[in-house]
Amino acid sequence: MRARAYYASCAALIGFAITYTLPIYAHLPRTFYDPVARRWFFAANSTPIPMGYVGQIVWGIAGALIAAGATMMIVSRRSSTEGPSERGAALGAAWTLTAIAIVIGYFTWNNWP
Amino acid sequence: MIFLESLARPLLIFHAIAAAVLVGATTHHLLWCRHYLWGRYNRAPAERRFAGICALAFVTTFVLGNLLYPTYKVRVRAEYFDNPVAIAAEARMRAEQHQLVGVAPTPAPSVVTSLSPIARIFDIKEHWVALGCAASVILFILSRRAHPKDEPRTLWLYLGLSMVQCGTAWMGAIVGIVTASYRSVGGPV
Repeated sequence: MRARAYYASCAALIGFAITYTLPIYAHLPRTFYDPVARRWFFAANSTPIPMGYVGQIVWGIAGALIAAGATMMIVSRRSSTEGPSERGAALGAAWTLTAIAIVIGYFTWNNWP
Repeated sequence: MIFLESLARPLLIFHAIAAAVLVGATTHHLLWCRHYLWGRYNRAPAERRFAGICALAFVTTFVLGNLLYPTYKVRVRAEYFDNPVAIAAEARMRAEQHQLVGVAPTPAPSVVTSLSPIARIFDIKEHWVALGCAASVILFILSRRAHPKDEPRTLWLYLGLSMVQCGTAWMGAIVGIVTASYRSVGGPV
């Protein structure tokens, strides 16, 4: 149980970080809200005023849920109290924190004035 | 009318209160977690409670910020930060007021640029807090399902996420205050 929770948490955060960045990096379509026209639309790019932030967050949440769900299915249910292995825990922490650092660095670099 | 523009001021106040709780709670959480490095878990029950407070405060602050975002995007960013004409007009008006008040006027800059760099730093902050909010929710789940007290191998991720949570909360608060300072104490330039 603890191993499943741990690995699913790592996968959820990595999934969130990747899919939150993906629509910006790969110019994929996402939901925009135009606050002046008060309408929603789906597009890869837009003029400056419409906001793509909510669509980007939806991408991130979807990625987190899919990654966590897939990981929970993959990780064994054999022991209800068993924790992650030492190597698995270290790798999970390293991948998760690195994914966060890379995505923070990516957006900081691309938006730096 | 922009979405929730009529409620922008009360929303901003609640956003600021939630952010203050968030900064305090995440700092507290990180400071308590440092004891785990030496294997001292006597504060774990309170720390777990703080993980819940942090997640709730982060999600609340994030949602309130998103409700304010349409008003910011049009009234602050498009009409002011990215509009050099508005900034030049305000700089002139402030200089005139300085003379009326009798305080030595701040010399007007020869070239009035836009405040787009501030808006871009605000954009950076948005991405930091989105990741911080996700980290906060996952930290809350770990505090209930795989806490370092019960499973010491999770310690590094737990500590790392607490640092991400705290760092992004501080970044959000500082950039938010800097952004709001324009047109108030800071003036336009």
